[in-house]
Amino acid sequence: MRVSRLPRRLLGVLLAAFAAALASPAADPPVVIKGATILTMAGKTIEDGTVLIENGKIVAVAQDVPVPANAVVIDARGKYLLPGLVDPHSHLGVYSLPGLQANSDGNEMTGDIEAQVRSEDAINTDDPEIPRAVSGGVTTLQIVPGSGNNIGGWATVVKLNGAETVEGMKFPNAPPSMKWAWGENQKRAYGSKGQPPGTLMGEAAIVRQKLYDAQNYMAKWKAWEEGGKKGAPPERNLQLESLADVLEGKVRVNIHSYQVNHFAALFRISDEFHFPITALHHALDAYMIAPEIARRHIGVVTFADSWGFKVEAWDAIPQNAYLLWKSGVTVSLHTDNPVIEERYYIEQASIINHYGMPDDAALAAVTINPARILGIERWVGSIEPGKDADVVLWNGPPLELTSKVDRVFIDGRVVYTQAGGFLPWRGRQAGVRLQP
Amino acid sequence: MMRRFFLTFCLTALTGCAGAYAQGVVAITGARLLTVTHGVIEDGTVLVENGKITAVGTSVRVPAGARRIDAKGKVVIPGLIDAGDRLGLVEIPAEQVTVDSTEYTDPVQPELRVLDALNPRSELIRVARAEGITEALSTPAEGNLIAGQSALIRLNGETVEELVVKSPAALHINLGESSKQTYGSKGKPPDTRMGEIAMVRQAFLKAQHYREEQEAYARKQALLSPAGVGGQAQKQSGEGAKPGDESKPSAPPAHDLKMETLLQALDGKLPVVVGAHRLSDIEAALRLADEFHLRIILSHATAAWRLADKLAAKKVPVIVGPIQEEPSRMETLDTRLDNAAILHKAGVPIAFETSADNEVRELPLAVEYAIGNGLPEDAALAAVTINPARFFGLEDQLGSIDVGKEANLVVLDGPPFHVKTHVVTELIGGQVVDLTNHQTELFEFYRKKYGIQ
Repeated sequence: MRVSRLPRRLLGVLLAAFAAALASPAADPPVVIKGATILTMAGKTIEDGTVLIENGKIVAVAQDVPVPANAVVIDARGKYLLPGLVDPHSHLGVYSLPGLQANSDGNEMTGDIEAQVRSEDAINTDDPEIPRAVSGGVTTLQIVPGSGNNIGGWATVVKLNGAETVEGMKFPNAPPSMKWAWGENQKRAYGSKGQPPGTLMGEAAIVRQKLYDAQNYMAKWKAWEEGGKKGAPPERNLQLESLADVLEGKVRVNIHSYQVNHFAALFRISDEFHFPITALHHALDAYMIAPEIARRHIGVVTFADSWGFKVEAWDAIPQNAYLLWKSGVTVSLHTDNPVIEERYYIEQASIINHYGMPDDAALAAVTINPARILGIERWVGSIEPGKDADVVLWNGPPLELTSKVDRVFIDGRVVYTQAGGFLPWRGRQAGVRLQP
Repeated sequence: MMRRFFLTFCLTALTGCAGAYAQGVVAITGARLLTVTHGVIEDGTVLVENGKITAVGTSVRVPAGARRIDAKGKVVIPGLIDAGDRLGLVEIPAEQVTVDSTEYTDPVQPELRVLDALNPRSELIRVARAEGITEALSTPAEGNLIAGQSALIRLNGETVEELVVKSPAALHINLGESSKQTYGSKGKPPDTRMGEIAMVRQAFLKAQHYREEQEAYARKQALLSPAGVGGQAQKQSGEGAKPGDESKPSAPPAHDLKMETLLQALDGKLPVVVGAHRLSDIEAALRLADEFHLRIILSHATAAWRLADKLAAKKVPVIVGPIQEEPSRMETLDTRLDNAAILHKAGVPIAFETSADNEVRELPLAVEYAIGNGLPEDAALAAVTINPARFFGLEDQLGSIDVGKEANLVVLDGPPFHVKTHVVTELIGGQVVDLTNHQTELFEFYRKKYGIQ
């Protein structure tokens, strides 16, 4: 749509990229990380490997890389280098620590369709979880609105680079993405107050009607434009404008859903209105229809072993990710922070590993696969030349829970060391003081 | 890996069904035994007869007809004890009809017994035991101040009687945010931490008075009813009684279930598990223990690392958990992964709790975090075996691989508390238990349906 906010978003992105280019990385000396076991997440593991970083980007990855004379060399012998973890489903900053009413900004619980709200307007860049998350090796997040509404609002992809502003944290080229939700939560939130939806039927009817409204809205604009833009333009409606973006396929639609009947309803709506679903989130029963999800090229973002906390989670199995992976689905894990604290993201991979997922596939589910699901795999998720130098050095195999993060690089800069903590916040009393 | 796991299980299940073995005699042979109480025995054998361990060592003679479990290359540990969760009390947390963990009607309910709500057929029990957890302290949840009495259960049993190892195991008190949140928001006490402690003190003072009344009555009865001539003495005394006379016969003090329970705690017969996160709440718990001479065990104890030396000096045991406590509440901001390590180093006896409804199976992985943060491996194993057994007076029955103890044994394919280690075989009360559950059945069904290895 003409009136889409996308061009403005793109402009913002370009400005931010320009500012970043001006800012500094060029001034940094090259960094060489030498001697680590490099878990590239690009098809191979390099023993005793070397990574060369210049201007915030990975320049070379191999067993032997010539070391520039002015390079800072980090001895990483005996350690493991993994891409920074990418969490495609977090409420960090919108449910800031600690869990107080004042910090509750993730669900606009005043109406079931909230396509017009954006998580970027609520993110607390001082969330004390940020340094904890980085200490667990997490570098990129998609911050999504909560699941109290069938359409929850726009998501925001950020890097945990310690920036003081949301603009400074935003992932420069991340495609726009929206959070929807399906199942018990909306019934519970609204049905219990005697408001719609009270059933899964109600959820589908509400969303379909809203999508009709968006089609009507688009038609009105089209008529005005094709009629030579005579008279006043139609009144802009933020909610319908957002849904129009969905209908035009400009938005990655990420949907919280659990059971097979939820998936079926969503597939019907997707087919009827001709917009793609990017990923099913939580999706604890996805394994039951794994081949169909693979056929539709829909990603799955799931828990490792959370189960049984409500009826729609009763059939969850800890091999969900394994069966989906075996069926050819792009499968990612997530924290749903604060449901699982962001800093423990890697444990999700350890757990699916415990239940049969091979090491590489388990690690892909917290690195390259979530990057693909967010549409940012050109920049992050693996250790390859040309990608952002968002890498994490672990002092042992990352899947072992006794291993610790030794240091974290974002855009080529060290943001965390085990001894020094989260460096960008040093001396800055941000939020609540927490233990390391 | 999964396939091997299931194959192994199926074989043990089948042989278990055959029942052709000498009655209740099982020998686990050739294993690395982590006995907990007397070190590690390589290539050792454990003999189990009629539910008990009857021999442990490298030269144990296996009786003819015994069922042999070849555990060469495997590791055997005592079954793990989760020292605080909701097993048997909660099935689906979001569905109130399936939740029996907090009686939200009165903040002071020492009389409540977990025993009366346990569901032996809970699927959550089967899921938990598949990861090597054989016992659990099933406790009332947070939400009440004096919350009731827990039960220590074994994770195998058709009836409540079979399930329960000990009830009551402890009296439970919760300090801090939970009860003031539950009741204060309804305009009822407690509404503050001040109110909480005042209510607990008042309850124990009342129990002390209750005892005084009972003792006074008993003294009076003894005075009025000398042995052998009771009826006559009472009659004579009654004839001479004047209004207000202390010797006048009267009804005995009414029995009060709350007070009877609190008296058991005051008499030291029942340990008092005090749930407290914040430093100030732990201090309040210690004040209560001093004032009423309670035998307390701290639970959760998020900030306990800051008081480690004091807790060691006072010999207060601590049940740490959940190990990955998150700083999601004001009272948990002091959480540290090395809490257990610091306490252990200071000499505080520790155990672990998942504090979970349905994530009890994660206990072994959480313990791996504690080890990664400085807790020695043998101390970690003790914290989920012999230590909790001692806390609840069951050290002669549970918590180690020793002759005379209940045969709760877990055969692992690697070292305990490791992501890549799996349970191969498990005995509870000497019986090889079924390790399948709702989840393994679904996995098998869909794995086969889609032809996945």
